[in-house]
Amino acid sequence: MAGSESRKPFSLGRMWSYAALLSATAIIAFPIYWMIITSLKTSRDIYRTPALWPSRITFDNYIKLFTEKHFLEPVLNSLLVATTVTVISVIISSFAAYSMIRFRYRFRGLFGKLILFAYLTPTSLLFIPISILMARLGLGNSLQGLILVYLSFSLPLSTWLLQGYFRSVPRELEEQGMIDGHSRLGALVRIVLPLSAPGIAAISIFTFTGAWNELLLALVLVTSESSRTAPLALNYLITSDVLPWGPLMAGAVISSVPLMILFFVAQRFMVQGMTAGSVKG
Amino acid sequence: MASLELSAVEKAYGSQKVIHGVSIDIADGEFVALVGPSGCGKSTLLRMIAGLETITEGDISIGGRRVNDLSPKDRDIAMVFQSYALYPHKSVADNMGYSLKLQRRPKAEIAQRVLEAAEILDLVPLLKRRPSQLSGGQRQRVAMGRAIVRDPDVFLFDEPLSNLDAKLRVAMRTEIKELHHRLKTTTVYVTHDQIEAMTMADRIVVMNHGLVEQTGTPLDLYDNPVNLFVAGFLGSPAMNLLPGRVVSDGTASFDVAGGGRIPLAGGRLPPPGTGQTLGIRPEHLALVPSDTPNAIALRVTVTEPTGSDTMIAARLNGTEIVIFHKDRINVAPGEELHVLPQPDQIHFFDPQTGRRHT
Repeated sequence: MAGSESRKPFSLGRMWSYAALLSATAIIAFPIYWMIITSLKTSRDIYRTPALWPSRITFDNYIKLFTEKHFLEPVLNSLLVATTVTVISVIISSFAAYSMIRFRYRFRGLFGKLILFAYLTPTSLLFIPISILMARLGLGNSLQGLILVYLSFSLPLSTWLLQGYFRSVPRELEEQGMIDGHSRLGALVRIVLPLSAPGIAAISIFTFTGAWNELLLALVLVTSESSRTAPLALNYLITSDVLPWGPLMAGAVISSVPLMILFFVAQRFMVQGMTAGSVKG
Repeated sequence: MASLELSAVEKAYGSQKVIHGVSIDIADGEFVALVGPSGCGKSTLLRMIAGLETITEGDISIGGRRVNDLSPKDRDIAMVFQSYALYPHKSVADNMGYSLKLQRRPKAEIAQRVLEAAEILDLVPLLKRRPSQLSGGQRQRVAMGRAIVRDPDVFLFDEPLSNLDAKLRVAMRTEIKELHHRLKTTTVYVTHDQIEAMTMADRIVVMNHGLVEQTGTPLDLYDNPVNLFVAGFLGSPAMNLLPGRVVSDGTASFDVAGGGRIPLAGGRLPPPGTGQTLGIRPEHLALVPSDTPNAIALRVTVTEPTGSDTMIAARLNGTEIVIFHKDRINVAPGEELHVLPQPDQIHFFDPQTGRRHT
């Protein structure tokens, strides 16, 4: 049979592929499995000899997290910060990227290099200057301050990625839009942005994920309990040397859910987003 | 429909001037082709008419209205780009009706006008498709349909046929010409292909280095080029341009710089002794028997038979001369051939200024 040549169900090569894939999946998925399973275990189960399956499934850790530890507030804070940063980032980086690829002006190249330079600066170097700056601006210990700081980190990458996308939209399309009846701004919003939708989706996901997961800057800048984000609140669950594994893992599960949904919906764009800008010159 | 006037139009990018004071008057309903080599400024000029490039100096008026400061959408023009510039995320019908949609015309009117244009261009079965599902020729027609739907004052074409294969290009040439006869919309057509310009335009503007070299009807330009550039640019195969000088020892003749002599039959000749460039088109060199008085002997280097005619490259001593013979001819490289130039078709150009001697 002709078909059997190309699709041997149990060829050695295939078995190796599956073996490699299975082990990679196991390595990646096991911590997630462990996180979920631990969040559903009783304290006794957790501190006993580690078991792959709980002797009794319980939601006590979740109840404790939301009632005693008031975890809903940090989740809402995180949602507010990540969404705001994402929306503002997309708007500003769209205009910035557009101006850098369509207009000629003095120091355009320098601006481009500065943006990349800002992106490449290690975050930890900027802890002290940023905290001083925020304090002087009166934005220390506030969500607004955190949003501003996250924006300063997300904008360079977003601008950089979007430039690649905008470059792949032929200039003539935009000019045709202007002849058809758009202003330049109209052509950007109605022609260029829709055609760059995968890029916009990709930078939205990058930005949202970055802001959602960020811990170190939040730890430096936010002190009051009411302004804590989810990663920060999780961190504060640990008091001295006591690690409340159950609520911690429950919090981790809750924090992961929005990202998992986001990635599941938009993974197609993620891959496109990471490759498109770089190869289309 | 409207007339289009360009007066002393200039364009500079910083200190770099690319258009040096171009003035062209285009009458209502006229089809004008802008031709010239790459980088001559023809596309820039078209984009300035469209409003996609700013005007540094001078004025552009459409229908008597100065449009220098109007945005593209307010100039009432339609443009067909070389890349067609169809919106990939819209259907053919939506592409064609987009300008009317932005003008907030009623849906029924848009549908009607799109259908009318689609009927003219045989696009009705394709209206629901996306541009990616169309062939190059179909995309080209959609781009034209989009221009027609709008019923603009002026059509602007920017090398619209350059991306098509040779056969389709010829077919589309005819189609655009027919369309112009039918709609009679003022048209500016940019091309680097002089055949397109010759066959389609009422009038041709030959440009070079941001300047207009000559303006006129296709045949006028072909027969009476004002300078060496126009003489060499229009016509395929190109005009033979032979450096040398006129000599007069009883009868006038032209001494070709590479050796050889071409007899001249009088008429208005440049003063003898001065350096000149003699121009003669390949079809104005008639093949004659060797015993014909004044026949010039040439050595054949290459023959290119197309079936209906033959192009022959031959050498007059060191100088290459191309002959276009409107029939088949059986000559092989290395053989000798005799030609006689048509005396009234010989042009003389000043090699320094490039201007034609009149």
